Amino acid sequence: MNKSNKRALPVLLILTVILTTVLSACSTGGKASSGTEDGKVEIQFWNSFAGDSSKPLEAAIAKYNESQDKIFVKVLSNQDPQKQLTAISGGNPPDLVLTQWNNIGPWSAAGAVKPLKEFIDKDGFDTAQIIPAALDRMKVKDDIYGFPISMSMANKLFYNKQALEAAGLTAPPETLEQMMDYAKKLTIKDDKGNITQMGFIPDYPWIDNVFWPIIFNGSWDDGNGKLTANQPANVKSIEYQARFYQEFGQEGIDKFKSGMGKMETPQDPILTGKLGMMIGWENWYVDNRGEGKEIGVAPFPYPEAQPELKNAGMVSPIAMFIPAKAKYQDEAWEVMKYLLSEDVQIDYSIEYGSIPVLLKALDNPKLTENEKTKPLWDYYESAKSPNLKGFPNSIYINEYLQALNEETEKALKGQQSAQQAMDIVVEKMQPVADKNK
Amino acid sequence: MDQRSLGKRIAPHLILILFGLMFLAPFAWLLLTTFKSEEEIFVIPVQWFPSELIWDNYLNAVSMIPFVQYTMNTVIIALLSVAGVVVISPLVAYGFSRIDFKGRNVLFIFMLSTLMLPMQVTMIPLYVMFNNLGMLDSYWPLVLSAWFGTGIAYNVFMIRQFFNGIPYELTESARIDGASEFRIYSQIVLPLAKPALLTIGLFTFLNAWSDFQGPLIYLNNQDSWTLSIGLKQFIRENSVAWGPLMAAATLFTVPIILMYFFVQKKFIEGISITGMK
Amino acid sequence: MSSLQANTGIKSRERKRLLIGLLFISPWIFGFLVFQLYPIIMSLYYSFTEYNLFNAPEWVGLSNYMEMTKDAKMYQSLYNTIFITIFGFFPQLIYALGIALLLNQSVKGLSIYRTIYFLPTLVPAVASSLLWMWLLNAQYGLINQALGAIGLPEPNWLLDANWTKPSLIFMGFWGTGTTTIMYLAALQEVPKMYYEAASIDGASRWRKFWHITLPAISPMTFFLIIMGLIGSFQYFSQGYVFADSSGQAIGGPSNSILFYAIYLFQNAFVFLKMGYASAMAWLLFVVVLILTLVVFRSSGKWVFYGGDK
Repeated sequence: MNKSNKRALPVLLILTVILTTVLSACSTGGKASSGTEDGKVEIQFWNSFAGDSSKPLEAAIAKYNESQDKIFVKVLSNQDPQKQLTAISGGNPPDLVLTQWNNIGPWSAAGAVKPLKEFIDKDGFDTAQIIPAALDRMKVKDDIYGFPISMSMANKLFYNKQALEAAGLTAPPETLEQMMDYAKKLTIKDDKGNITQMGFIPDYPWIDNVFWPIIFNGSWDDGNGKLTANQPANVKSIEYQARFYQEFGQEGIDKFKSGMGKMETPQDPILTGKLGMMIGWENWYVDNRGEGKEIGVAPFPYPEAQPELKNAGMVSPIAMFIPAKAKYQDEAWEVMKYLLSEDVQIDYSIEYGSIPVLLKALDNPKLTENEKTKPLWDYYESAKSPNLKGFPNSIYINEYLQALNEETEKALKGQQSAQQAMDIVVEKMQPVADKNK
Repeated sequence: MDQRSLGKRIAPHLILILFGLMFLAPFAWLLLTTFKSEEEIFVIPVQWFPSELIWDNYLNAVSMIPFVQYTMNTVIIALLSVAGVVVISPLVAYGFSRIDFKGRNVLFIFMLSTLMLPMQVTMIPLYVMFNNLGMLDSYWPLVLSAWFGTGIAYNVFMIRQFFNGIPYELTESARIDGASEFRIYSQIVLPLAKPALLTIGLFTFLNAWSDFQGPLIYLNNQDSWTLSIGLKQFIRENSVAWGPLMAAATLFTVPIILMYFFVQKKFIEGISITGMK
Repeated sequence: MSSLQANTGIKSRERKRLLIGLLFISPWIFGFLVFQLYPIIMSLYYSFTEYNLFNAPEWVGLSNYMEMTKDAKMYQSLYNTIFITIFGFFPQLIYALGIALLLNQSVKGLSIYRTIYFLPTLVPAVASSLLWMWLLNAQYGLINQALGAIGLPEPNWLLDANWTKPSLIFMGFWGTGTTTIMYLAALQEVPKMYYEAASIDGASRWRKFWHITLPAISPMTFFLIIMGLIGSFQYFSQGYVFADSSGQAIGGPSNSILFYAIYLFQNAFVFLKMGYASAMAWLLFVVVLILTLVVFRSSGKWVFYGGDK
């Protein structure tokens, strides 16, 4: 050792000392949940809501915390799916998680989600009280992995009243064939051939690979592991959408899209009438619907030849689940049950502006006669429709949806036929499905 | 001849202003937008100037999230990160630049190679590690990653380039005089590399300031969140509070602009000192 | 006898240098062993397994690597990435140097200019992307209005698969602030006396730039190229934000902006194929390492350090 080493050494020593203090100082953080001093069990409840959209949930939980003295639920918002995934995989799972329904499939199939059968059996919890289409989204191969806390639905047609009036159309279209006619009448071009108003854009605001096949009574598997995305109903649903592009032209539509105004802003095309009609979700434009407002609401049109498909629609619930490695699973189940009780469901759906997941709540006068929830009244009613469906949950759901998306896009752009598109998807995904049988 | 020299003096300004306007556009747009009402933000075709100045967006921005607290948290993380980085990185850089030891180049490439693995695949093992160390829900995963994470390779490489540019005669004479390596490092080389240190300090600060992924993953409690997470609170499903979001983004950006302005001034002073040698 | 002594002298001096060297770089060694080694080794291990992030990884040997050779989307994402590296990164590097040269003159108000040129780098993406959507808007965008005015075709920058990558590259020019600043720092380091000497010899501006400036800043260029290569191959956020804010799915129209790192991310966290994603990561690692070594090998010819003996 020479002089220089002696000089360098202290610096490095100091560094090491700082580090070890740092390391020891923060060993207190960490663990997701713990018992509190007053004998209550503290459990962590993560949700992915940002900003004040977590308020309804926080309010419900605050009531729960007051109502009993065994469990204290700590609500942490803004824990987005990416983080949920990292924490659960990284060995630090919360006790209860609120997430998008399509995470239930992959996460439970991968073993990260606690199956709820034992809890359901133990308490004799009646799963038949949950809206079937919403509950189905919580199942993978018939096992229940979570419960929906609220439900979203796309089963209506929104239309700009003025635009329809201006085109001499007195009532919204009832069948898909009528809708096509309406779309032609509502589409206006300027003298240069640029589209300045459109009746309907089938892939606005996004390509929907679930909604459209449901309207045509399509499906994605037969329940026994055989994929059915290339059956006639699904293919027809894509052909129908593609017809809009054939009629009005890909380039023209794309150009119009870029200039028609941004969704959910004052320049929103359905509000300004630049867009005549669009798919209607219950939680969109709540303040702009109904009497004296810009937007009219009607049941989404059905194929003329198949009137039995009236009132079809897609459900996409928000899911609650208990991670398989959560520390306080019994307590989490208690909280889940509480959130599924009728009063809580009603309050929550009023505050959050969604549809409750309990069948009996759909008829409760607190909802159906409440002026505050008026824009949702016809949604409550249609939530009972037997034609509501959703996409089957599985470990490969996101890969399947992605493949559908890519091939549908090509079909809409006319690069391949709808049948080709769906054949490619099934060819690609069937081996994946077989592997995960 | 006179005209030409006048042109020569004005031409650089003209070009600088022309390009400057282009570079100014994003921030100018942001700033102007904050004074617009919701109706004006998305008007088609684009409208640059608000028809009247509205301050509501700022009021909403600071009331919708705990702005002061998030700023404090962000500053703490950023400063802690900078403090470690400016001590550690030049030390390592000196070893790789000025001391000719066996295996140096191999080790150097090895260090650089740690940057080549995308973080997406190391993220979860890293999380597992910080979990095992009991550091989740604290600032340490963020700060320690700034000090010792793969970013160290970037900083070291950059300072090494600066060190390599310092003439050998400067250090050789000290070495002949019997000065220790650490003395040469701390008294001759380090002061000359002030611009480099300022640069990595600045970049470290900016990275910590705008990092979203790290705080999101490691911080659970709302009290410990940073500004970048705060910005996301304005973006809710189906409804983005555009006006307040833009105001918050402005408040987020102004401090780092000011900091940058003063640091780059210093940075140039630092450089001119080097230039005197 | 004496040569032997000299030998041991050299050896002990070598050993001493090794020791001092290691001592200086020990913070990195410490950091590497404690914070980096475990994640790196784990990701290498995952690349030989089927791992869905929750269940224990299952050893599958080389099958992830084999699968990659048949994955058309992997090739597409690699193509997109190489495209953005060649037509994005390198032009932007030259552009940044140009701006730095501009900012390196002694004109008044230079610190203001310098701040302005750095500004776009500081504006959060959530705000600047909105502006971009406006500028690139097919119907009302400033850019297309300008193109239309001079009779050029007006592409649909955001939705036409042929134009999304050029749009991203175009936007990238605004993000060159960091590179510019580093070039600026390097330019300031160039000793003035070189230029003075050259002026006396009557060298033209171009000659001075070519024979003095470029070699003098070559260490910085070297650094920027290495880092740029590494960064470009992991190109992620811009592509992600771009698709998101123009209302597109990940990957954009026809997957035209599905970059390697985005596809990797998608595999890891959306499809839960961490094993496959890790294999992709290690392929990327090898490719970038080879490119880096090539640049390093060549650097002896074109990088000149002021401190060279």
